Amino acid sequence: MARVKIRFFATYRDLAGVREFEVEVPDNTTVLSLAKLLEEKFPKLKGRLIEGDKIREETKVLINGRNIEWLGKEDTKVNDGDIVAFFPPAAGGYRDHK
Amino acid sequence: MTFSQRHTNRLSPIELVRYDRQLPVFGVEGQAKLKETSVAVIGAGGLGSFELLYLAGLGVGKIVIVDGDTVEESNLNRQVLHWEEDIGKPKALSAAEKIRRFNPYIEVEAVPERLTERNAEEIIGRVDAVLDALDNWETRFLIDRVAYKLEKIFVHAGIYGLEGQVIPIVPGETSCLRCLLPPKLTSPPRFPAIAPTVGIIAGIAVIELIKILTGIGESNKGKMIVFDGYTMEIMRVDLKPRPNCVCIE
Repeated sequence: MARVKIRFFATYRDLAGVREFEVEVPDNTTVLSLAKLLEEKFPKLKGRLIEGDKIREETKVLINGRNIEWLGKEDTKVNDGDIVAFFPPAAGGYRDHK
Repeated sequence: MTFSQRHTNRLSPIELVRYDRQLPVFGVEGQAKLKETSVAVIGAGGLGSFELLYLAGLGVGKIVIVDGDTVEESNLNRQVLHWEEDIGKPKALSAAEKIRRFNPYIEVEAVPERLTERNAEEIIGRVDAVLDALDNWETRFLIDRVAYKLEKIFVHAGIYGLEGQVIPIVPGETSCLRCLLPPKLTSPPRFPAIAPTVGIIAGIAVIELIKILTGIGESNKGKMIVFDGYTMEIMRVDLKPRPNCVCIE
């Protein structure tokens, strides 16, 4: 088993209601499997991380600060001790919508 | 007359005093370069307020402030250029008035209009760089398209609560923002915003801009700088451009 630290940013954190926690996953778990597990664990995240069998295009996933797009994308395996961050691009900074 | 003497002449004696503490950072030539530079700040809200203060403090020679909104009570927690007495005023005018008083040695132009397809080329065409101080992706991608086409530096900035991000785009050197981020991003109707985060993100955006302009330090062009105020971590994320990027001919 591998113990990985999950970090949610911005709207993902709001939806999950948690910013950071540890989770234990089987060895050789991929980012896609991890995201599925997270969507099950946090129902409000359902459909926010995954689209079909891929990580959603707007979802940035970093493993130990490295963008998975440069690694093996959703097939990248997570290892014991990894920090896996999920974040959507931030919203902005000025107008109050009505 | 040497090159540096000529540059010295472009800064008045009072400006040399005003910028005395930052001349060791930029040198006289770098300071003169800032004076020669024009920057449009799109949005005069939270991010815009701090970006404008920082640009004006640095002595960026011309600043164009673009915003079509008026000041509201709920802006006052973070949009530090707008005060109680400004409620109801156009934000571009309220911001311009404060910035002119803050630094009378620079040129400040207020454009009290929303940036649209109609005015984007005209506004962006007459500045050297554009700073993002927006709340929506539609206008950011409009800036990106026009700035990339006109070969203007564009620094994207966005915040969410205690978090934020900055991406500097330099046409010809980096991909455009539309290639580095998904093409269809939507903005939530309302998002949390506090002044300290806005100030930090605006500061990062302005530092990245002046590094590109003056050549000091190590630019993060094409990278996403992510600030996490919960942990005080700053990450620099290598973004991967989409294949067949629209900006690559």
